[in-house]
Amino acid sequence: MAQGEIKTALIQAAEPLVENLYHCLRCNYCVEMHWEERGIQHVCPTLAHHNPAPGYSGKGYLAAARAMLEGEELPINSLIERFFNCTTCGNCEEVCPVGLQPAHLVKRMRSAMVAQGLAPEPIAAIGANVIEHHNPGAAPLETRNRWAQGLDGIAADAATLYLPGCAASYDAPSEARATVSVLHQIGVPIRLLPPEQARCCGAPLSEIGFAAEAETERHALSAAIARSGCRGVVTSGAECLESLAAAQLANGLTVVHVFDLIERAAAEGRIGFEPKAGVAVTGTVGVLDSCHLSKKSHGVAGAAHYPQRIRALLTRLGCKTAIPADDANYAVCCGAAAGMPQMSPQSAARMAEGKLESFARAGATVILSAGPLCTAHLRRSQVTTLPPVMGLFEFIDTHFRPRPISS
Amino acid sequence: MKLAPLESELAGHGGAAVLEDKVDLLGYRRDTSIAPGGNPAAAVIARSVDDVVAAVVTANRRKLPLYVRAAGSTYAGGANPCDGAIVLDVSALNRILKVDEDRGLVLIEPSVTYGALLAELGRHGLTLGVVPLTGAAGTVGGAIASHGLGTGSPRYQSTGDEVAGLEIVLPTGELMRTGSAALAEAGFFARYAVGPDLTGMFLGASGCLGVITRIALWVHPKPEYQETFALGFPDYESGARFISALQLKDLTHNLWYGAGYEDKAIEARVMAARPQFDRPTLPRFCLALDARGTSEEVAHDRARILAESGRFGGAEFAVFDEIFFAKLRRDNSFWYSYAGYFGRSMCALLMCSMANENIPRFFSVIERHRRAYPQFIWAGGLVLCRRGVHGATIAFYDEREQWDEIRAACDRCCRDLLSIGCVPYKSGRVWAPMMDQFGRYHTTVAKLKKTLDPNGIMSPQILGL
Repeated sequence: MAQGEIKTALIQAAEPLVENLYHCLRCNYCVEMHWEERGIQHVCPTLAHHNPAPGYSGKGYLAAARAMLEGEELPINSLIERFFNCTTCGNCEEVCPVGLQPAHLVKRMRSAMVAQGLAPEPIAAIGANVIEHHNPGAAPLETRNRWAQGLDGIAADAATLYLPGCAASYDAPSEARATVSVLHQIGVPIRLLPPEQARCCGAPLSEIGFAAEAETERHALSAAIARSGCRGVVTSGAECLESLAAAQLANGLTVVHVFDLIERAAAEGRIGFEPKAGVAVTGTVGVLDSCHLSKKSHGVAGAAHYPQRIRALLTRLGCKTAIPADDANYAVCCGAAAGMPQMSPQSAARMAEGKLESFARAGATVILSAGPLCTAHLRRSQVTTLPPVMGLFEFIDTHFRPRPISS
Repeated sequence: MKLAPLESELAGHGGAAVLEDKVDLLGYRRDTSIAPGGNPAAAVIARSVDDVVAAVVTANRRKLPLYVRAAGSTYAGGANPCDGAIVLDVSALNRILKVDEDRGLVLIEPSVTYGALLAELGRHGLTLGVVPLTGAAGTVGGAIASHGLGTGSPRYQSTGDEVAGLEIVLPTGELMRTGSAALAEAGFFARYAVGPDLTGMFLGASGCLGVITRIALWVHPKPEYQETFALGFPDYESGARFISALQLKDLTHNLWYGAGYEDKAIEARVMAARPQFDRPTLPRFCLALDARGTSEEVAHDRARILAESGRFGGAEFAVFDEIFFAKLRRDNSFWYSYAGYFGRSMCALLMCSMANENIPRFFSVIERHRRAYPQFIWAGGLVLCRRGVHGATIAFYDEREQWDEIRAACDRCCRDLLSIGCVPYKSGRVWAPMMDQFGRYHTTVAKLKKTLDPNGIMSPQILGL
């Protein structure tokens, strides 16, 4: 690929965000800041755990795109390294006083790079995996529902379709199983898409720059959902929630997180939770602030304050909760998403450790996650001296007996 | 320009990282100002004082210009390098070393952000005397190196007035401590000790005379109560005379912030929030105040201040406090407050200090520029100090289309401000071309620099040096 062609493609990718490029104050908020009243402790996981050079920062991405737009020659390999080592968590966008969108720029630049055949090998591998196997880890498609073997509460004609998402299906199956168990206990049978119809929601692809392929996957999944004839769709995947919220599903269907369903039923007095004998909750629980469920830059789901709501429910169940010093909306990413674990495994592991440490400092003895991608990543990176990580429903299923309340 | 490997010269000095990739160096070109930036040849991320020493020694050996930088969020260009320079990034020197309640000070590394430091001091029931308006990302070292003021200025004046002593890496690489800490056994507790106040030499010097590596700052009890109110005056002259009276009678003692607003800002804010407001009754000048202390102290001073304002034709201007100022101070969200402007345009800031009698002329300069350069949105504001006031001239511009124009306009504005007796506060590069107007002061600073920095490596061109 000719250098000129690459440069043109990158400039074209940046152009829709040109106002961003010329409105960066260089105030450094996206690099490092601390604002006690707003619960901001730090900002960028990549600067903290991968490389502190400004080229890896929100303002650095904007500066690089502006320099290219103004005709400067920049080393393409350096750009690739920097643009593909962002977790796209969006914390830089949360703190920006001007409302600039560096993480969106990163995704656009990645798309241009991927289209030019410049994806780094680990990123290209994720793309190929999803395209061929419909999941980022290249697990065989036919094993997608293996986690569900032997479970009660699954019926082919159930009204509610459960989409665990790739992470829960393959990497955190205990969360998928616990979710079905909880739903079964409160009288909500679910159906699953047959493995051959199941597809990735597209989020892992769009985050790493495979925009067109992401749309293909999402479209195929949307079509499968429509064909299923279900009347409601719930998911465990934080990324799936964001991706499918943006999709126009047939029959007016909208996708909600399983927690939404549980929270609503509890609020309406339709379900209750009894502590299980012999497995009382001891210690203090921390609720993970998965970026897709806590940052506005991740769309509707990100603006819905999941960590705060989950904490509220757990408190009602009698759990003592630990709140990290950083507010969930400004929490520093654990490094699970956007290809970070594949691109820079050691940096992603350090991010995870940093996240676990922040909860340990807050006094958490166990960390609960409503995002299976984060759950699996944190468990892989688990340092034994830090609090263990559980899926939210795994925790509920272990310690409580949910039951429907008849009116 | 590619330098011969710097890394080998820095090896073994605490793990400094040397950056030479052009993509990374883009981030070191400019600060928040309209001063043009250069293309550095390399940046060194220092992780220890040894790293700082090594960078300074290396720059000397190679006769390379060296510019010190942390957050780079000041607006005078003091951190903007020239082409081919080394940028010494000290942002990793960000530890709070000791909150020393016995001595009433906090000892920190230079790149502690105000946000982090205030949070830590808050846990001890303490706060800083002066906190600049650069927000949660601004560093103490940056504020000291470029002068900083804002919250606390009516009571304590300037950031520099709150410095108990410094540790400096001199341009030749030697380490020096000022004030009482000149005696290692004594440590920091008194700024004025032994002989001349060498601390002051490095305040506002933008790194031209050395690299600040430790700072001792006075700390104060965190006030328990806060209240805001605003006063309106019929014109700038009466407002200026009132400010002098306020200061002379020490009525600023419990004022932690004071801001002066011009007629255009008053009208825009009030009429936007209260369209039914009787426009002709709007004051032309508003002084909005943030009082802190015990509730009794605040109530007592507020009553005295209101009574005093009446002597100058002033009166309480409650609506301004209600619609704007109270929220601004409560949320402590300065930059976010202006996000609407920043979202549409970039902002050129010229910072100067003035005696109170110059306030009317300061606003007339802004009005003149408003007419001369109608393509920009001009605004002026004051920050109340213990003595005198600080003036901010603000011009919103389109960086893509108006870069040369705004720089020319700001250059003229700087000269006009100087001509009426306003002096630059943050000088950096923005005011550097006018430094010859400071006569013997400037030549003496230049001689001082020559003595301390014989190779002229430290921040050349900054402050016109």
